[in-house]
Amino acid sequence: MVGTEHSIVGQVYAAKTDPEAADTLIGQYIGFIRSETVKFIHTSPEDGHEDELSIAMLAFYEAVLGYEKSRGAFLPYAARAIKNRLVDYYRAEKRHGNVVSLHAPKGDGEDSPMLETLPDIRDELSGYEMRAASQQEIREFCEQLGRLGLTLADVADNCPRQERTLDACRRVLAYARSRPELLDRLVESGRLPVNELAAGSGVEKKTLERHRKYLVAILLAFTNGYEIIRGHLCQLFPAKGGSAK
Amino acid sequence: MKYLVMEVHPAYAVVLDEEGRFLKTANLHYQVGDTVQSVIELQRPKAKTPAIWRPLSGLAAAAACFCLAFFGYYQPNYTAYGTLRIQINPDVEMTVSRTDRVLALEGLNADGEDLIEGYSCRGKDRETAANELVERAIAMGYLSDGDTISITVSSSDADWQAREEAQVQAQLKERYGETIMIQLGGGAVPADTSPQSDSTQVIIPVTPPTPAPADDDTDYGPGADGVTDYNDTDYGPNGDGVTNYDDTDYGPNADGVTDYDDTDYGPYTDGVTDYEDREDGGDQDTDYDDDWDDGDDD
Repeated sequence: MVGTEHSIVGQVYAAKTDPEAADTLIGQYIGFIRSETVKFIHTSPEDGHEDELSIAMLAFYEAVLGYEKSRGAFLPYAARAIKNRLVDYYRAEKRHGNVVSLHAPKGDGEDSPMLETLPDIRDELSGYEMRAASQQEIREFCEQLGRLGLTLADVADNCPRQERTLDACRRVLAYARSRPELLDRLVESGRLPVNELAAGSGVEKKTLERHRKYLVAILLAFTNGYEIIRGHLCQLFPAKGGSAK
Repeated sequence: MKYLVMEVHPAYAVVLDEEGRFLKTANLHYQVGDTVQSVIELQRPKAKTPAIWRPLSGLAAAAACFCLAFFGYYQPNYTAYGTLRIQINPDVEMTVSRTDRVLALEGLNADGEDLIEGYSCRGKDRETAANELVERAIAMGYLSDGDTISITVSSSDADWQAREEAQVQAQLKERYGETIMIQLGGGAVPADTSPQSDSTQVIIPVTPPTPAPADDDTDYGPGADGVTDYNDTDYGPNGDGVTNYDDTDYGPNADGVTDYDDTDYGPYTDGVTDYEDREDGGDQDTDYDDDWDDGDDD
């Protein structure tokens, strides 16, 4: 019979590819996610369990990505995914079971946490400025990506996951950095000079094509004006940068 | 490893690690521009294995089913494993499967064709078919008491062959053993002839049926075999005179008891000459003639 399919199936399938649809769907089902989380932690997420709720939301998103309508209803699947993910999280957290939290009371009769005994070395003001500068830079970066028709979510999906492929992309980047005109051409035309990069770096053209979005983003980061991002990528070329992990 | 938070969504954040990877992670209340030390990375659904195994598994399952059906059911039941030849006078050969199922029936001579005509061996096992064929042979007059059935089993499987021979023999012996001889082994031995000694032969001791009183013609004919006939019984000292030929010989008027016994078998008489004399009717020197004459006259 036509039309028996629940509307959530269509929404889930849309959310698989469209980040905005995913955000909408998650906003719509936040109650469900929250209830599943509460079932697991037996208390309110606001009561010091915000991370669990965040992980449950991530699990829900993973369930969206992994759902196949031929294999059953979505919500039971998502509930199971959330539960499994929280179990994983708790197991991972158990490894730190013997570590005393800084937020625990000092134990000297006063109520102040141990955290207060540490010297405050952070410069909140400069930290704030730093973060504002980063935000500004990242916003510009995203805008430029947007002009090329890309989002960071796309880039993250397109990011090479295999170490070997990542090395190949690094070689491409190293070659491009040695030829700044290629980077300029990318900014001007919005196109990746695949042929030159493949010929110059010795990486297969197929690999470049497959990770085109990622390469555009990472090359863009090495054009002018993105010092903070570039500074963050200090380990991209450890030999040159000289900093250890 | 430090991660720079690039973009935040309700359910996830996009972070950039120090090696240039863009990752989707759990959004633990991050803000864009934050640098975080550890993240909970998104686990992507595993890439589906190419669906090549799906049709292949179907194929494999079908092949397995076929093999099971073929080797488990069809082959033992429907493929010829050996033959069983029954020779009475009709010569019939059954093709038998491993599980003793009769697959085909063939008459090897004219009588055999005749015997199996109109007989269907469909779905019958060897035992049933053999029994029914013997029944038919008896009904059609090919097989009577004292005859021999010769059975030959042949197969490439010697064990099976031996087992089958033993079974057939036991089965027929059980049923017809009292009247019919079952003979194993090859050789077209006509059923009527006496069994030869060279083949493996099982002769069931048949108590010879008490024969009905045979015809006079056969016993007393010129070709009669005196040894087997009834002379001993009838004419011996234990003979029963009542049933025998006294009546015929001596007529209704004779006084057999007194006269004849004395005269015929007595010490004083020469039976041969007496009869001849009587028949000739010429010389009547003896007492008998007198007696007879007297008797007749009286």
